[in-house]
Amino acid sequence: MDVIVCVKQIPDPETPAAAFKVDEAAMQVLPAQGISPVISPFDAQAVEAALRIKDASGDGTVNIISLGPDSARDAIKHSLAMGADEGYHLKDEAFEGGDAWTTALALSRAIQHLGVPDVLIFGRQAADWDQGTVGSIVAELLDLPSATVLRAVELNGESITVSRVVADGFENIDLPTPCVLTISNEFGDPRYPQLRQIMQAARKQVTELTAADLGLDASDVGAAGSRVQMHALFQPTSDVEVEIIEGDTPEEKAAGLVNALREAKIL
Amino acid sequence: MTKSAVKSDTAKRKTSATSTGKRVSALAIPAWLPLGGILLVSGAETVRVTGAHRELFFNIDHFWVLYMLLPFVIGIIIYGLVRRSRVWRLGKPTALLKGNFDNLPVRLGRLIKGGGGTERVLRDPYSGVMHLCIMTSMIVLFLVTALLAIDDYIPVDILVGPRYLGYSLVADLFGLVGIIGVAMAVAHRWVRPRTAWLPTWEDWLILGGLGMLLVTGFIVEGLRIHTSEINVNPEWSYWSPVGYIVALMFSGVKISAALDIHTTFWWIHMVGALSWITLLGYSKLNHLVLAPANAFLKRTSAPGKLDMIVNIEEQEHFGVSQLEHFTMKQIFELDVCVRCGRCTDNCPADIAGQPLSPMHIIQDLKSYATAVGEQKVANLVQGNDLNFGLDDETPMVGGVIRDESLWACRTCGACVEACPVFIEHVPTIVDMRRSLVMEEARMPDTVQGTLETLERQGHPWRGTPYTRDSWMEGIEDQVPEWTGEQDYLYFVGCTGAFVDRAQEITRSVVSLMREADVSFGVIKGMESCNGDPARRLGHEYLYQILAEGLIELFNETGVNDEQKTVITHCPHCFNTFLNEYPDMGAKFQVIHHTQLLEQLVNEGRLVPNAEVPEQTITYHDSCYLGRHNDIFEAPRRILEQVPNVTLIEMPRNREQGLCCGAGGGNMWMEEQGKSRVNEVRVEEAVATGADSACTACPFCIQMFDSGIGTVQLDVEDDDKLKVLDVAELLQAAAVSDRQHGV
Ligand code: SF4
Ligand code: SF4
Ligand code: SF4
Repeated sequence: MDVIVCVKQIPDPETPAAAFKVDEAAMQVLPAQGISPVISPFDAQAVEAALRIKDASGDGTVNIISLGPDSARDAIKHSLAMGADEGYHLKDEAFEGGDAWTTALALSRAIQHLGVPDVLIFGRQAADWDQGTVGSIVAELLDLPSATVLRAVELNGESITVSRVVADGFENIDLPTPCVLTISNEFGDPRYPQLRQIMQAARKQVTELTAADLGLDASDVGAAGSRVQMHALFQPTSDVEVEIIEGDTPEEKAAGLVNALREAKIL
Repeated sequence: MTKSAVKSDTAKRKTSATSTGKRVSALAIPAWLPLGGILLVSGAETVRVTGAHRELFFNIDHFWVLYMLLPFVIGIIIYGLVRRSRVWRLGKPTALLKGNFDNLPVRLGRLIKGGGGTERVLRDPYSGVMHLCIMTSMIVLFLVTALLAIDDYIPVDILVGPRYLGYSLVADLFGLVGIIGVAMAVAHRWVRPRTAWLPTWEDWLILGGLGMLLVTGFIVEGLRIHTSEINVNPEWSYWSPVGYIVALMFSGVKISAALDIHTTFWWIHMVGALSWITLLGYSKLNHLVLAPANAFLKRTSAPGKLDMIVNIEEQEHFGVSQLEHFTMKQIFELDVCVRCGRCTDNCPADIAGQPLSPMHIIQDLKSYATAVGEQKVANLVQGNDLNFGLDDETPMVGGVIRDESLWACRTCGACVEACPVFIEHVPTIVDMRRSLVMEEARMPDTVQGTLETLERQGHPWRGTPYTRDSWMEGIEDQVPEWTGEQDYLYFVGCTGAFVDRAQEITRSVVSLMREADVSFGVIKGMESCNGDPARRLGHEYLYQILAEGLIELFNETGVNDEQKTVITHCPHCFNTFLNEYPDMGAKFQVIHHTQLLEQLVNEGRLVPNAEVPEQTITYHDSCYLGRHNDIFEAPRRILEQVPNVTLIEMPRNREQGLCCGAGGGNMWMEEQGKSRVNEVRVEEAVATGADSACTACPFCIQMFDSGIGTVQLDVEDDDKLKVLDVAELLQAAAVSDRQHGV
């Protein structure tokens, strides 16, 4: 079974708050010193899901597409080290400053360019902006059935049984192929690459594709094609005030607490 | 009786002449002659009896059969050892085994002290004495027998008169010493066997055999005295006290019957001796030869140093997953193990009831090497593929040796330090970890998380809220930036930068250095991990990448220079820089903060004269400072100079110190097992009654703090054991100016 996984490189979500800075004027996140960007954790799980599908079906390929700057290659290499077969890097100045829509557009073209596979997998959302829309937009653009926020995926002959995480439990559904899946963190940890695979991945060529290669005009993608407009980017500050409620006995303290909560109109 | 007469008469039965009961090996190697001579002369001169002597083959016909058997015995031993050596040779040759001996004097010293002198065996009083008894008895009995034979075959008579009687006494007493040794060994196994080393058939065969030899020796001697000495020259027989007693026990037996029994026992004794000695090639008795060899072969570099995988990108395998991935020395070593259990008795993981026993690692690998190794040798001989027919074998790593055992190791070196036969467990364990991580990518989640954080963020502290410079917030102006001009670079290290408690130590060290006007600087914001955690966790590749990056930074900033010294307050950084970075091209000097602080106190640049509260302190040795790098005294001497401080020791200290539990990457792992190592160690510290525990390692501090949390759960905060870095205590005593009292 052939699978394509779309991955995104993001600033490390483990970046300590103290090192996280934004440039409010340029409305950009500044890279944290000494902390390299990483593959979005949900996307690493998507790669894991793809590899398990490939293993279960006994044949096929897992190919990786990523849209992003030079450094996005590392996210592709990481996926290759995990065991994916080929990597495609959508790299073009024209793609810069895009939104979910332009990204989905470029990705869907790239998928058509490579040939629509049996399964297309995304992370449930990129862990930086957390919009969680690209997968669904691609499904729409390619007119494919989709299931989102999955915790389990199982091959079932030609169809696929998935389990979605929903507000009050799980929802199990069957999908025909080809289809689009987005993977949630409940799926389980992605594998740690073996050193040999890391070395092989380092030597492997990643194919670069530009907007023109995909038949896209520069005005369709990137900032030019964006449908979302950013007005401001800032780090919210929060003030915490602590009031210690005094009292000699636990009862007094409890009474004090009730009063304080009443005053604050919480009770 | 003249020499020739003895020779010509030996085939005849004699009742008048003398003989010996103990001929453990009448066919001796004359090489022991010098020592035998000394033994002989000693004391014997005081004896006034003249003419006393005995005969080599008293009462024995066909003694030549023994000489016929001898080449077979030697052949059988050699065959056994050569056969084993084919398994050893499956491994990779090391420089040493190619004949490039480094530090020959050190090796020879070890060979003599540790091999011949059994220095390490003696550390344990009971088994030390036991082993000494058996060993000296065997050597002496071998020598006296050899001497008797030599005396017999050379034209001069040495063993006559007083010299002979002194000789008899020595021989007799050492026979007794041997019996005492064997009895102690039996008691050790029978009466108080530790679960770690339940005795096996091999133990009983060796001990039983030896006991049998000693007892039959005395029987033969007693019968000789009974039949030939006691009635003729009774005063001679007092010089063989044990033999004399045995002779008395036979006093009711008729001489002719006694002579028959003598002959029978003589043969049992001699054939038994020759059979027993063949165990040298087939059992752990081989340690007679292999242990000294291993003492010689053991590496002479710092014990905490791991070998680098050179040209890692071109390797066919990473670490060890197959027998033949080990070095020859590593496989050889397995056969040297005598199953004494000392490594396991000293292993923090085992003490805490966790799934690791270094003795079993070695023993299980040995059994594997026996079964699978010999099959592999056979495959090679038959021109088959090395692994032919071995597909269904339990895998060595993950099967014979369980993953959790490998992960439980702290690389603390207590086992290596304890092993009387100089086995090096740590490199063997880390080599298998390397294959788990790099070959199979199979590891606990916590290890994976740590490695990922190292890869991405350049430090192992996943989830830390801090940046590399957080520790200097508010005192930036007091922390000089490294310019390349200063004498010392203070390498803060990841723990010193990212962990709250350790940040306090970092600030103390800075404060002390400012107080003493040390010319130092810090590379702000740019440091990265030196790679130690990755290396100890088995990810050699990641270690090399991190180390290369840091050395590049050191090159760019002028740190990598023979004239510059790097200060670390983390023993792990210290060990890596000092012992492992030279392999990566490092030239700078390295000093641990306790060494520097001691120097500053001695020079009078730090004066610990401020009153600190009166307290008793117990010092916990960090493995990577103490056992691995021999720094035991510097921190203690600092503490001794602080007024009001009384230093007390835990029972396990210095070379025998117990790890806090953090080493070998366990700082970042979930512990499995009955209890946690840090709790065991905290209990030991609490038991001393000390007010505080001092250490010089940021990991140890954290381990102690968390151990106290559970061990002293019910103790009032004020009464809990306090944990301090040596620098913090010194700061309290020596830094008066609170301006840089940070
Ligand atoms: S190094 Fe320490 S933890 Fe590891 S086996 Fe030896 S004694 Fe046990
Ligand atoms: S490895 Fe050394 S210490 Fe451990 S059981 Fe064997 S001989 Fe004894
Ligand atoms: S943390 Fe301390 S005691 Fe523990 S392994 Fe490291 S140096 Fe040894």
